[in-house]
Amino acid sequence: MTRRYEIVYIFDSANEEPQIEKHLDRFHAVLKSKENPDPIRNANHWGKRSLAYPIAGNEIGYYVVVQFSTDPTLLPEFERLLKLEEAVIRHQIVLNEGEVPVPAPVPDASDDRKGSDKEKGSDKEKGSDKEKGSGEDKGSDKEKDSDKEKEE
Amino acid sequence: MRRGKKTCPVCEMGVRVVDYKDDRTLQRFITDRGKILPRRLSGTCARHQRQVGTAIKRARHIALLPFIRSGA
Repeated sequence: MTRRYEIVYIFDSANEEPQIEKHLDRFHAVLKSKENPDPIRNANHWGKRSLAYPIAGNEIGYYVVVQFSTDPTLLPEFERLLKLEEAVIRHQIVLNEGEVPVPAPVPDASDDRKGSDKEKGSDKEKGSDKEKGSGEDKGSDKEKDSDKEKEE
Repeated sequence: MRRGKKTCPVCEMGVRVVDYKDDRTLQRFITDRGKILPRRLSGTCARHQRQVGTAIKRARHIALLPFIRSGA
């Protein structure tokens, strides 16, 4: 079973982009498996940023954020590699809960609707969102409603 | 005089899940010293306070936010 993860790498800023790409390729090779030949879903290079506090004497780090899906059993080996690599000054892997799995597309739902879901489209679409939305959202709406009532 | 009910700033933003990489937003929920603001001050709802707390701790680990700012 594969799960979705997100990793943030902080590389030593002495490394240049080609070197970092090489490192990334080497790390990501570990995540590949027969069932999952292409684990990387999205890679985003933030580039050099100043750190909020120095890490191992570094004031600046090169940030890379990668979303991937892999089998959890492959993660220990992956993390071991990261810890051994001195160019990586810090990393953090979290379950990628940021994205809600897209519900199975309804045949007559057009593509433009997906975009408007994110940007909060017109009222009509909002209505349809609520129908689709999970129980959580409805719960928060109710909370708000009850708050309003209290004020009154 | 009764003060108006505070509304959760995260709910108002219409955010579903608080992103730990969004340090600008999280900056609103920490003190000058870098401590996590209590709900009493930030006005967040219970669910979002939990999410904000976790997000701030994650952001600290990847050096987007400080653990502490000294001499502020």
